[in-house]
Amino acid sequence: MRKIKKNNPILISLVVFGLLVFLHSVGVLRPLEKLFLGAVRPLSENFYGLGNSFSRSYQDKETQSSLQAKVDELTGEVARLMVENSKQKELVEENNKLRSQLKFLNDNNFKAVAAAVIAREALAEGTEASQDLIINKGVKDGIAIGQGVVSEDGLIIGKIIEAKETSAKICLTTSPECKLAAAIQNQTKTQGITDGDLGLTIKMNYIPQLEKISVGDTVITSGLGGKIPRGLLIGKIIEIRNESNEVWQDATIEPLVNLNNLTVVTVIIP
Amino acid sequence: MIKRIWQIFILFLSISFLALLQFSFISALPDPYRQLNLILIILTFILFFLDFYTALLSALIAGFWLDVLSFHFFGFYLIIFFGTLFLAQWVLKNWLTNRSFYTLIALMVGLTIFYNLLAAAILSLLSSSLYAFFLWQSHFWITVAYQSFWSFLAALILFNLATLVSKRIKPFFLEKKTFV
Repeated sequence: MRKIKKNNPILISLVVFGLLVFLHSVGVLRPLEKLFLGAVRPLSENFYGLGNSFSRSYQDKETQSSLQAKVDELTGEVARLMVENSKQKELVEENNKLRSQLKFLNDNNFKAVAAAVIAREALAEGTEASQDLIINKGVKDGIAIGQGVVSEDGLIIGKIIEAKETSAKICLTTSPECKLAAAIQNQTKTQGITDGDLGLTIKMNYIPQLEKISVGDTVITSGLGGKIPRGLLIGKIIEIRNESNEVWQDATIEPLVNLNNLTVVTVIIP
Repeated sequence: MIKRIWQIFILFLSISFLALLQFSFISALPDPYRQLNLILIILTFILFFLDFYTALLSALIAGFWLDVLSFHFFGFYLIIFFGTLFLAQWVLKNWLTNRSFYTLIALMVGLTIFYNLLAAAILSLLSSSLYAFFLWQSHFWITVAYQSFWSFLAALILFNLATLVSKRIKPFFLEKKTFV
């Protein structure tokens, strides 16, 4: 029989690994982890902010022209106006339930928690075409799985999918596994489920053929079956796939916020 | 003894800083820069130029940090870092026994591929996702390609930097000696 060396590195590593996992699972390491996380939180926020500003300047460089910047500015303006328009429609149709995004939260007694993005889950994520965000607020701050997350402009950008004591993970609306109950702002208020498409756009499938939808219609959260309130703008329809011999039609929705540049988000706590 | 403790402390601070840099800074960068796997590059570098024990200790520190910070199950990064280092050590002992530039490139790129395969295999085994098997996903291979490119670049830079300070490594090409 082969004799096991006293200071075999593989054996030592396995023992240390087992010990760490055990101590973590029984909670012995929690005070140490909390101490570490508390100490590095400001640093991680700064690192993420720095990375994000690099990302923004990289994107700006890519365009290489002030015209593109102007287009971006106007696109932002269009997005802002569409949010306003969407809110106005909801105001009329739902008897002044929704006003502006912040007022909407106040009127409905929703608590909103502002959080800073500290990372994107990118490492070892080769199996998914999506990027999840990690924020610096968690269960301790009232955050729970399923809650909606909005951008600074009040557009829904995703929902909470995992929550730790001091941090939480958000799936973006463009992520294939991020499903939201949605409604199209057309005459019949078509309802359905949206999910992400390749991390770029959002799709809404299984819309009955009889429903009349058109390019440019805005899509909002329907408020059904979850912790996300009704009326948060998801995006606008940019493409409809409609075959006469099919029972269903599908819509592609464009998010109205740049999901790559988020640094501060708001979690809506119902 | 005090010197050793001091060295471990410095290693702890440096690796912790790098882990945080990987987690928050690099992840925020645009593609393809966010595919840079800084921790794996540093671990390979330590294993190649220093020793297996220091590499294991570094893997332990980085793995612990990333496990605490990330939303994967606790132990995920420790498993893939340890697994990758065990393979690297075995390869260095049995196959790539010299310390040349080509060895470092082969090791860096090979480990990057193994690291991604191992991580994706663990994730897809534990995930209830409806996605296709990761090997058939183009995104997986694009990630591997970008990471391999960064690893290659890192090997190129680190080897040349190391030749300036160390005599343990061999030159690029065998020198042709002429006898008069």
